[in-house]
Amino acid sequence: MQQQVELTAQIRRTSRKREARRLRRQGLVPAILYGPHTAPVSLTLNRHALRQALSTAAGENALINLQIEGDGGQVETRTVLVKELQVQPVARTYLHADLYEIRMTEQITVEVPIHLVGRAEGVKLGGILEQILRTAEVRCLPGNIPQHLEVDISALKIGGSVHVGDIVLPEGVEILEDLKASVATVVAPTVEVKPAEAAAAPAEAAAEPELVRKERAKPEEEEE
Amino acid sequence: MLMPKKVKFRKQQRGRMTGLAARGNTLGFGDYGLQALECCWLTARQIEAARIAVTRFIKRGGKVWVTVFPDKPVTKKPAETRMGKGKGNPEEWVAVVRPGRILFELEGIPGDVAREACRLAAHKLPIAARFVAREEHA
Repeated sequence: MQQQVELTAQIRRTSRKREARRLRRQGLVPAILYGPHTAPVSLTLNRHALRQALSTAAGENALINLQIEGDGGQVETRTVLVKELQVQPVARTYLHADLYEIRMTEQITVEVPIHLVGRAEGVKLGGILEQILRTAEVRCLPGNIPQHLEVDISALKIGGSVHVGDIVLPEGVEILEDLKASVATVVAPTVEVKPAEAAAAPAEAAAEPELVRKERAKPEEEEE
Repeated sequence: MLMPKKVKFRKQQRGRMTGLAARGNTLGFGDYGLQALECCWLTARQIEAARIAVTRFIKRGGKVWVTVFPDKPVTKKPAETRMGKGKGNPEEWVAVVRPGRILFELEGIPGDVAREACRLAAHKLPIAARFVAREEHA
């Protein structure tokens, strides 16, 4: 059973980007709460508290006990999951969060990270381990969301791969990915092009790319 | 040198580089990457120089992805030419890079090797760039 984390939110009456930017300057994050049985509600979260809530072992799949403070001082509690997070790519601060209300008795679909366990045989022989699938979509009850799925790769040789079907799933968890899809593979090391071969390339590089559409024929010289 | 195989038009207008990288700002392939912190026109030569710096350092281990492509032609007028007489000839190809854009991705090597490879590659670029790693490798 996943541990639930606490988070407090305030109801937000304002909209528009000017207001959202004002909130972000104050260290707050605009958010929205919705769900299959819930009408959308605009909220404001504390950026630091949100980061703390998502930094547990469960990561972004943490079950959040959201306490919504209304205008009149009343507090309402909902169980939510973070459905989507918008992050500023350079500063890495949260810009907006989508919270999805869940019921503990209803199955949900979530993305769970895949962790590779062990050191592949092929890697010991000089191969390169390539992880193709990093997250898998699973369907389960909110209480059964695994922190991650483990795949043992210790028997993997060069040219071999592990598939979704090889993942050992915890009880009550159903995987929604194609069972034949590759999770990880060990490929032979690539050989860098030798300088002599690379030197032959510039003549080709100097040429201009081909035009998809042919250039218009130059208009004939005007008659005097 | 990287350049498109086919183009619709030989010359382009310069355009703007405002804002942040809306796409290509997270690691998509590898465990480690090099992220641009400023905007620039990254020329095919700079991309190639940085790629060579990375591949030479990591030697045969690991895999490298170049996640930017120079698809914008830049024209130049010949030296000592009077203004006018139309736009110059295409001279080089650039990738428009905005802050946050992932430029290179690496996989299959230890974190410290990836960090050093990215540091060497960053020295070949005209902008500040930082090393990034997936959370489980950070």
